[in-house]
Amino acid sequence: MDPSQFIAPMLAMTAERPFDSPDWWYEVKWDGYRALIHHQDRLKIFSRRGQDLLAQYPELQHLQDVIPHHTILDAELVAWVDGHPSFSALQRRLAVPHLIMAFDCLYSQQRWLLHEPFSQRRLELEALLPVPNEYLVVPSGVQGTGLNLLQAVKQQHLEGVVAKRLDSRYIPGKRVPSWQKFLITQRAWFETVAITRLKSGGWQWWIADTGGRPPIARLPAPAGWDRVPTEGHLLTHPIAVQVEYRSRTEGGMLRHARIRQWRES
Amino acid sequence: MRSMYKGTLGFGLVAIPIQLYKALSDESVEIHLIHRTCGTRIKYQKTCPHCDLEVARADIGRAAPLPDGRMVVLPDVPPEPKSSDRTVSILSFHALSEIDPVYYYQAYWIRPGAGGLKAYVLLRDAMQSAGQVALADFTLRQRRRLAVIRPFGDWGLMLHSMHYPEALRSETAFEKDPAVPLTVKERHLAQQLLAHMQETFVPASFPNQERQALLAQIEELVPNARTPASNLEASAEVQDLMAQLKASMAKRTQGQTNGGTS
Repeated sequence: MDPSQFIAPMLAMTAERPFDSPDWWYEVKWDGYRALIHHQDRLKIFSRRGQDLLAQYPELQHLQDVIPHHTILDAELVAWVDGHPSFSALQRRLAVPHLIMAFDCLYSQQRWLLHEPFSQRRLELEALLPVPNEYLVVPSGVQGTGLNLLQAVKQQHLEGVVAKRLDSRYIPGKRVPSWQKFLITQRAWFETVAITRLKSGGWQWWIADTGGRPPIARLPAPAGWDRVPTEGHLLTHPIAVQVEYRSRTEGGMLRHARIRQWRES
Repeated sequence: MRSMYKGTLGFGLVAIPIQLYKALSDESVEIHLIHRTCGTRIKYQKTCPHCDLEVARADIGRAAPLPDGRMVVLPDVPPEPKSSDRTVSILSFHALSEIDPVYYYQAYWIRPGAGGLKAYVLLRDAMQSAGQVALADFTLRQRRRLAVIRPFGDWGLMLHSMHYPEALRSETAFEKDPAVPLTVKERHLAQQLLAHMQETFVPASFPNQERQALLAQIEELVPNARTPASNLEASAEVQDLMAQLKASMAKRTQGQTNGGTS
């Protein structure tokens, strides 16, 4: 295999229910773009489907000074807004910091690690990048106590937890049971039907089920939305909006909702 | 307001200490060019494409190109002349209507400097009652310029810096209009229309709508304002977040060992 060529990332299945096990490693699931970082002679960053992320986020070029040559990392690219990852900021390429959350090492010191168990690859990763820096972080994880981490992640309003069998190999391009994700939130597409101004000066979106009234959530307008309604605040052309939420009340209202992305027609 | 020029106004044997203030505010809204991805202001570099390097200020010279492709390298401009020529010298007096507005360049308020008030008021009142304006010359930012000085409003003097008359491009650069026969009726109609549209000029009725729209847009977007990206901070925030996760896990573990529920 040529270490400068794209390797399709290994994917996690959604767990039937969250679990604790001493044979598993648990880490935070970051909401961003999957990024495979190859540093051979020069730096290449591939998306989940093998597209060139470096072209879209040229500031990631800094990683060439951080990651040693002859290395392939598996990671998530996130946009960082107010102490949390923001998917919509990432998608809109807003002027916010972009960070690489590295979680696996597939190739190091001219040696393939795909057949090594995850626990070994994790050690290699930590040894390779012992100090966190401006552009790349190796977030820590825990062994055995997935449910506890899931609760903590919930409190911090993060997306979920990824569980990895400590003895699992890296199988490129496959969705495998040795990696499982515990999701806290659900995602669905709705419509923004109205926009109002808050006393604080910010804008608020009124979200409704597609084709239906009444509103089921009122959420702060996402960063990067800079179209200002000129007249009236009832939209004649609703904005399609993907919302992440934990659950719905009996009345159908969204609980713990936040906007993940949106499309203006 | 900061004065941009301190000097004297020379009027015959009289020298009036004066200060100049820019009379017109910059109409354009301050806008920076940024790199979209990180929000950092972009920087201009002076580079030499021949040597392929950035050129230091000390290595930048001035040259005038000749039509044949050669160039004349000019000597370095001497550093800021001392206050040697800080005089606005009045050359002559004219009726304002003699001076065509085409020559006007910038406008400055003239205010009297220390001890100059009496002479200032005297000159202003004399021009006002004679219905005359002064033609003067002075040096501003190392450039010699003509200027018109005139009473403005109720209590001030205004200085208009001017282009030199020779800067005006001649009409002869264009082809002469062919003779156009106009009927009396047509002339009459045009004059009627003109008379119909005649009104008093009220400056306040001509706001700069484009500028106001831009300012309104900026105002609306203030809630979305962001500071330029700092990766260092973001990376520190990730560490904070991880520490909080750890703390909240530890708390829960402790609660369980103590027999509590969480």
